[in-house]
Amino acid sequence: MKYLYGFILVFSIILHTTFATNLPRAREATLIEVSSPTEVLIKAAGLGIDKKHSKPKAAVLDQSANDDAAKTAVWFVLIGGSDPLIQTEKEKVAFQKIEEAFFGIDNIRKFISWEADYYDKRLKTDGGKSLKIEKSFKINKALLEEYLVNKSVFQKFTNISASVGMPTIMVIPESNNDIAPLDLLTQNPDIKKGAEVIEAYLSAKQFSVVVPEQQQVLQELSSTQFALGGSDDDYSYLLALSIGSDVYVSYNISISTRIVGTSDVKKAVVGCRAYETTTGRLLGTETGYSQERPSATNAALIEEAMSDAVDKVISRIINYWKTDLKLGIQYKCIINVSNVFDSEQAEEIIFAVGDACKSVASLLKENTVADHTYDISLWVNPEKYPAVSDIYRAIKASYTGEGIVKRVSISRKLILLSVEEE
Amino acid sequence: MRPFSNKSLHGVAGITVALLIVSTSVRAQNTQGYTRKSISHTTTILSAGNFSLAATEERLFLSAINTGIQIPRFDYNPLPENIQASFKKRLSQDKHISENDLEAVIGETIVPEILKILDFNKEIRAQNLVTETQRNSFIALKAKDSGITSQQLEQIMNSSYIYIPFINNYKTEKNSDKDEIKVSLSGGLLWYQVVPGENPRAEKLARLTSEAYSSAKTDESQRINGQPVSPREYAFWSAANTLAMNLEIKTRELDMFKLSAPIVEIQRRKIGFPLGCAEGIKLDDPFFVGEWLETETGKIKFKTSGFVRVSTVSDNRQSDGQLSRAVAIKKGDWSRGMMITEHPRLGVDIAMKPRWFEINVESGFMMNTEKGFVVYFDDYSGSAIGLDLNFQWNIASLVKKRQNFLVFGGTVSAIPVESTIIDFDFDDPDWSLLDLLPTHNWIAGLYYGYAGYLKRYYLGPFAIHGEASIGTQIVSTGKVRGVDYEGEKVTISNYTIGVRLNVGLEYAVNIDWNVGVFAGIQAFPPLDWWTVKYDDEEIDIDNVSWDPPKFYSYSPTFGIYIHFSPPTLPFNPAAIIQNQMKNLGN
Repeated sequence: MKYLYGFILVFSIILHTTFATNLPRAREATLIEVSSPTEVLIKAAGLGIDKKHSKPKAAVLDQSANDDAAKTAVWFVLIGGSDPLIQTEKEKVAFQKIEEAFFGIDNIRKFISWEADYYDKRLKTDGGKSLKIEKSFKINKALLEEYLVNKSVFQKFTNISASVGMPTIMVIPESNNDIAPLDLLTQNPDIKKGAEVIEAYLSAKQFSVVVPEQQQVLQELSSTQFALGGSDDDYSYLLALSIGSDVYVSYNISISTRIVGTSDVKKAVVGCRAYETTTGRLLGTETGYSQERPSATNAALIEEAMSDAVDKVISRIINYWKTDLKLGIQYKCIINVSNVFDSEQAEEIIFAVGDACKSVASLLKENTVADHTYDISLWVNPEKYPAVSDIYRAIKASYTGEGIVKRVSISRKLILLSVEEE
Repeated sequence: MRPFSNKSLHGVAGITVALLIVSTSVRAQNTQGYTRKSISHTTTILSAGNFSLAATEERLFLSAINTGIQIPRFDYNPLPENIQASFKKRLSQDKHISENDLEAVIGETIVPEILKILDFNKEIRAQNLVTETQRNSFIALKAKDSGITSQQLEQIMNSSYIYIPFINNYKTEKNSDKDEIKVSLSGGLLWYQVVPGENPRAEKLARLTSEAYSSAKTDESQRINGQPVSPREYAFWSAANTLAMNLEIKTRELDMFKLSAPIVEIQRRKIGFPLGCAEGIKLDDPFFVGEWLETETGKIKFKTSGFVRVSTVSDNRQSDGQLSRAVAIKKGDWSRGMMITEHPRLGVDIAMKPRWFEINVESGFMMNTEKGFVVYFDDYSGSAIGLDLNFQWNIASLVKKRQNFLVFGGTVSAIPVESTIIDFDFDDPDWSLLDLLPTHNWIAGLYYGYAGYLKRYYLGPFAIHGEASIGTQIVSTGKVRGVDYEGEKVTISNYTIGVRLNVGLEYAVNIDWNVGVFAGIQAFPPLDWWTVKYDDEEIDIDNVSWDPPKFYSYSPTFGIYIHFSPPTLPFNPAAIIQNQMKNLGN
């Protein structure tokens, strides 16, 4: 008999836990727009139920549906969608511990900066026992992130980057070969507007933003190109390397026009891509669309479309940065072995340089190993090697092969070395 | 006026079914409320009968109809005269055009012009379609843009309608005895939707019909808008306005034109909703409250649960966000987000009140030597049962107070009192020697006609009303001259003037019907005021008797109260004022 009581007790607890949950029920939502770097506009469904009355009361159903829609909207920003705030397993596990308290409606309301007075949809379902609504909410993403950092779900971003600084991101338009990106920036106001929107977003997220200025970078660019042996890699990649950004964001903009009646209606479409500078690896790509509008300026349309795209790309950059920083700071390192050494000697030298680099790096990935060239990516502990020159010095000191290691060029992300005859 | 084939009548059932299908799907998607529609009309009247209208009548009919249909919920696309001329010319080429042929003619002549007008106005009109969410979007807040999208422009281009009025019956009848001319008019509207796109055209949506009657005195001069008109024209104008009022209600009953809105807030029995002057709502307008419900079979239907009457009309023509209010008459289990939908009514209620009261008759003689009558009434003092019939014209939007009515009505009753008539009107050609024989009547007719004011206060589904009116009391007796009772009908009546005060308790059975009881007093003192009526001709006469009969009533009265709000009325004396002044008071 006592087993039966025990079973009933456990079952009751499970039942209570299941039905008294604060978690959202509907979990249907769509992103309407990214209104600003800190706010997103979400259309969320809410499912209202009334368990207290045998015949559900309209006011109870309405309140319940509203609360559920608000929870669903926040849930969507946090966990749903293609680019939720919570992404890593560690974050998910940490969040699960606080989710009951988090989804308390009083807590949820803190993150809602605006909600619609009117429902987009409202339908009684289940023979009138439940109410399904759809309405729009503006969610303050920044507050949400701050809350989760305080609750230790997210690692504080400043903690991550305290030792290494914020990731530096370069923004540059895509271009064909006819015109240089830097010229596009100065000549095309739409392109310039696109850069401004991305820069505004990045600044709001406390990234270090590098705006390539023509005079400032050309010389560095030339030297980088020269150092890379006249490489015909793309311009943006070279520019990012020469400037020394951790990540670079390239974008393109197109504005389409059609006629409704006698009015031109315009729509902006922007493509936004983020790359890892050292390898040119694509971190994320998104396309953003503006609404098709009859009277808006190009700038407004571009901002609308870019906001749609850049927010998602930035979330990819953040995730990349969080993951990559665990390994240390990443550098591209190219070692040229002098031609005075024959192939056999050069191979031995590359092995020795490799060993020297391994002694410095927490992780080493080989990109290219040629007869006289060794192209690698290094992840280095920033606490041990706070400056790039420290890495160079350590490699030089650890090198035990033939000849000596000399510096060709060292920038923030690129270490160009050569091994010369002594 | 253009001839119009009666064959089109056969299509009514099919059109109605199609309309139901279209309107149901429109309503099924409507959770945001009414969106404004663009309306055009022509200066053409189609005729589907063997009659013709004079130019003045055409002008009067169009004026009445266009005033009736041009309600604030619509944006208007006035069509230029050259387009009208082109349309009329096309119609004149075909003497018996059908409704289907009409579609093609409208499509060719009028639709391109409407599309031009829509195109010109689309951005301004589209601003009304910008949603609450769009007004809070980046583009509106930061870029200070109107937030209009191309979908909204296309919605404007897709929500244009045109109506063409028609008349299928027009009769006049002159009554010389009464110096009266009667007009009966039957007609309606053909509604078409403008379909833009690569092949712009018009598609028939609905055929609305109604009937109206009116009359005018031929011995009185009449004026319309300060201009003298003939009695026939005036009666026609009155009937046209009655028809216009009826067609306005029928237009408002079409689902695509029916006002609806979500409930934004509820405070006890008051609700707030986003409609106002811009949509032309008026105080006391009734609205159903309901919600969309998914049935167990998966169908979605609108389920009503009570109704409200508008208590405050907001002026939302300039700015957004102001809510109108309505008071629940029958309240269900409501919450915000539920919808209200319009229940279009004329604003004229018909009340029937069977009632009891006391009447007194003091015996005496009435004698008139000029017309040759002596009438004797016996004594009577006792009860009478009468039937009141009232028209209660809601004037809330004029006086800006809810539930205020002007009341016009009458009572029909009878007094079981003996009366004797001695007729010696030797000069009358219908008179015969047999008329010298006294005529005995055992019952006298008793009538009241009155006008007054009624104020009603609703307390949930219950209402109390107070009513004050002045009126006339008429006691009549009569005879028929001639041996075979086929001669002239002679009626001798006594008139008096008095007042009535009533209070009543009502219960709203549904949105259209109230039932209840009432009690009051009436005071009609005796007056020595007499008339004689030969068939329909009535003449004031003097009494030369020194001891006339006295008819008076100082009595309590009580009875049963039933009122009904009809959607249309074939006879509506207030129609001219209602139609011409309906846009006042907002």
